[in-house]
Amino acid sequence: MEDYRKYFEPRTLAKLRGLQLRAQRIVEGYVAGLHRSPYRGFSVEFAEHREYTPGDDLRYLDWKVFGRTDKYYLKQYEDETNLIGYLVLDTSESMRYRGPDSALSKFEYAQCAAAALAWLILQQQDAVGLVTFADRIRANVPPSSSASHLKRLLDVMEGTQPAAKTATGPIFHELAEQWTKRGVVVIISDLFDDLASLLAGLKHLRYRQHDVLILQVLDAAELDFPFAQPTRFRGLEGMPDTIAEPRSLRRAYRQEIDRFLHSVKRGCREREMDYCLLRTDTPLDTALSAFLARRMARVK
Amino acid sequence: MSSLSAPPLILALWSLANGWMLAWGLAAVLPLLIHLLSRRTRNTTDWAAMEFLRAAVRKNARRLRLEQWLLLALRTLVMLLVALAWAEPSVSWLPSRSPARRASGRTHTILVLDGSYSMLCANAGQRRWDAAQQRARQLVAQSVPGDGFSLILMAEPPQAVIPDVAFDGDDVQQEISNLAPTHGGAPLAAALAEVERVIRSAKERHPRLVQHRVCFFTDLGRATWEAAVSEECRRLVRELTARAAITLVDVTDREETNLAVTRLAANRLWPVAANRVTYEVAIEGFCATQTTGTRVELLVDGQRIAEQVVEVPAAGQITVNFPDSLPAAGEHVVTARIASDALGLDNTRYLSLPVQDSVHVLCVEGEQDAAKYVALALAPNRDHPGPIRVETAAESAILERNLRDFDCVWLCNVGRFGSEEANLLHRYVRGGGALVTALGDQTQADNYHQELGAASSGRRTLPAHIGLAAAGGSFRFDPAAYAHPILDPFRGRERSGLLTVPVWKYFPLAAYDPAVKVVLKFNSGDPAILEESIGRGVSVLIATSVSLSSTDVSRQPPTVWTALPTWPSFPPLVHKITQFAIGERQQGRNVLVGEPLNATLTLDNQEVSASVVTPADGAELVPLRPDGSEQTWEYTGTATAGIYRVQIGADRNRLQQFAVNLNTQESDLSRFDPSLLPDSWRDQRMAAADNRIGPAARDNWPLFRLALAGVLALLMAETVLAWRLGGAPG
Repeated sequence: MEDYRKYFEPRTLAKLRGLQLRAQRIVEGYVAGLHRSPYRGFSVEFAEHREYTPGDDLRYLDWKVFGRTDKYYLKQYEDETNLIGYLVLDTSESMRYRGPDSALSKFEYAQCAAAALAWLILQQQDAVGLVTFADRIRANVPPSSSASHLKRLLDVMEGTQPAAKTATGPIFHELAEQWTKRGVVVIISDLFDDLASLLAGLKHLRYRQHDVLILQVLDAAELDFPFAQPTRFRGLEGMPDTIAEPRSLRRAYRQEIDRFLHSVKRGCREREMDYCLLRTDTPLDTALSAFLARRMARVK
Repeated sequence: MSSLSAPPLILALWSLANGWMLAWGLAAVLPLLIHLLSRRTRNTTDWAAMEFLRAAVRKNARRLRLEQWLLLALRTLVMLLVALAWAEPSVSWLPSRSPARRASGRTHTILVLDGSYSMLCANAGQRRWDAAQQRARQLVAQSVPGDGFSLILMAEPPQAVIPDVAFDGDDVQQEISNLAPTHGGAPLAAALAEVERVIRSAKERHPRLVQHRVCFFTDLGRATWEAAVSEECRRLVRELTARAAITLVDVTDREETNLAVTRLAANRLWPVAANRVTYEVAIEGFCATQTTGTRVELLVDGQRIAEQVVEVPAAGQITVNFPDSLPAAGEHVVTARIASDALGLDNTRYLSLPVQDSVHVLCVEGEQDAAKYVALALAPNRDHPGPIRVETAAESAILERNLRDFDCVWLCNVGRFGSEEANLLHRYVRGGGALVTALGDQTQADNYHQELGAASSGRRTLPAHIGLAAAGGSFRFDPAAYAHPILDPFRGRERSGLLTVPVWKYFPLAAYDPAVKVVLKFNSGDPAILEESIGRGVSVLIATSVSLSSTDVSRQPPTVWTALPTWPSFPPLVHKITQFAIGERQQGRNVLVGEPLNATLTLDNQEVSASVVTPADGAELVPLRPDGSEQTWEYTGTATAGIYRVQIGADRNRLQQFAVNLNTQESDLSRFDPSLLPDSWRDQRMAAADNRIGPAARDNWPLFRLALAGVLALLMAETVLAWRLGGAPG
């Protein structure tokens, strides 16, 4: 178990060069470990018949057709992994932050999570698309289930550097209008944006019948505020610098960030969206587990 | 109004033991500097969650500012209190805490031990000195860490054994144990002045010592303590009590009777071997009753030659005479002693007695036969010379002869002196020679005044100024009640001829100094013979001629100045003058404790030092210092009574013995009545059996402990506050 667990450790991943390698390790570890594919052997929708050939499983023989035609035809079901996954990756400047004790920046962590999810989805022969955004949509890769699609997704992710401000609300509105087929929308972001605008955008996505899974990626330092010495904090995304005495402010800051997270969670819960907080110092299997739990719930 | 109901002007009553330590208060700016520097932070980091951080800052700005100021104030106050604690503040308007303060450890005690020899008096086997040492050591042993001690021995002069403050009690006790009383007195005024000096020095060097006390360990001997009522001592004690508390530790409560040998002298005509001598021994009794059966022994060179049993009167003195003959020529020591009593040190007295083969006299004549009668009077039988060897010579002998070879030099009608001759004569007299100057018709008064008189620039050799010769007349001698010892042979013998000596001319003399003694006067009232001790020698001046060669040419026919040389009183007068001059010269052989030993030698040896062997058989070297054509040496370490032997080189003939005796004022063991002590002394007395220590002076309340407690409290408060405000420490 431990051998596989190590692939989820950010410090281990940080040593791997290349998003593809990192994603591969994550998925392999996940699949080969305790997390077994829940996808085997079930389907939910009948799609078409095909003629029986010796050796086929007789469980799937359509007896009604045989009664009518005296011919042996097998039912072919629509594979329930024909799910469309929409990966929405935040590439704003705030995602560039890496804490003093973190092995990966938020963006790198989000990249790994997105890449691993894409790999996993494609392995299950589902379709997955990718949207990167900051203050606007920077890249929009339509969903596809082809084997070569992963490389394209990874190239897009690797070729993107976090920059510019965040504008989640308008972008989610835009995406909600753009996506016609419903699917599972996995938003990987730190959600440092106007909360009302953010929730309004998410609500629009829900309105379009998408299943929304929020993976909020935050650095451990942003949650714990572990600084001890007086520090000049340089604002990202155009925010002004602030000099503060961290020891005096720690409690107050934590109160503020906790209040924000609580609001986010409540907002997601009210809109029936799944929410998962990812700390960049925690193993990445949490991200995969959250997605797969959501997928299982959808299947049922 | 009670002194505690309204504290007086605090600023005026605060005192700082180490005021300059307040300069450390400048360190109070350090927290502020650190605070300001910390705002120029070196730590910089990107921050994505700025919105939340700014919200936290905004909502807590006031609280943060207050907390920062509070911490800054605490830290600044800590530095200020530390500086104040180091400055050791104290407030004197607070009431004194206790007369037996022991807690603060900041007392400077000056231990003053009475070093007079009366402290050697023993009772039941314990000497007063031992009791004083014991009490002093006890006081040191009872001290608390931080107390300082100085140690002074009352002596002549007082000895500051520990002049600075010593904080190691063991060292102080060791010094006390190593102390020994002197064989001299203990002048109180000098001791008080030394105590004052030690306290002043301690205040400058050790300002932490805020309390000072002086403890005298003494037997309250009268000889020492009767000076306490003198104006000088009163003034010194007044000044002292303003700085320190004084305690008298009386180490004895009883008076002792005592007998002492107070004088030993050899009464002889000439210090010549086999000459008759009478040793005079004075015994003094310091007791209320007569003492009988006192055995007095006389020893010469350690051999007992005689003893007598006498009765010593109560509070009186008896002189015991021991007739004898002088021993052979050489250095001799005569010892007189009585049986030991409570104070044995003064039961023995010494006399250094150098004996010669003969007395050498040089008669210098300014004209032929000017000294003829003097030489004849001293040595009438040239074929069978007696104890006096006379040599007659012309004026040139002053330069040609070594005057030190002569016990006495007569200058008879010498006309004038050159500077070199005057120098030699002065050095001769100053170094212990006996000079007799007889004037005459050759005398040039101006030259005498210039070369041998007061105009000689510190080289005065004569006792009087010589005026112009008086006009002729007829004069006789006036013995002035035979007061002077030179005239002793003539007392009661008016028919001896002294009173009938005709004198027709003389020089009027005016004494230079009130110390000059008149031996004999003329019936005109003018002095005829004057004598004065100059240096260690004696100078006698005779106003008229001692020969028949002096002629008064103003008369017709010319007449002699005087018939004195032909008068029957002349030989005894010459003898007595010579004998007196020789006997009275201070050869320095018999001195008192504390007085220096010195001598003058002719410059005929290659030695550079003299070896001095003390009574304790200690040996010391003293340098020989050249003084013109002579050498001198001086030894000042005569702290112990006894015989000191001084040898120049290896020649045993150059051994000299010196007797150092006690100044017997301390032999009176009567105690000074303490009720006669001034008030400042009386209130501080502590009896022998009383172990209480008097209150220390200037009982200030040290506040540095409060300041340090404040520092501790502030540090704790700062730590707690910083932890509370900052969450996890550091």
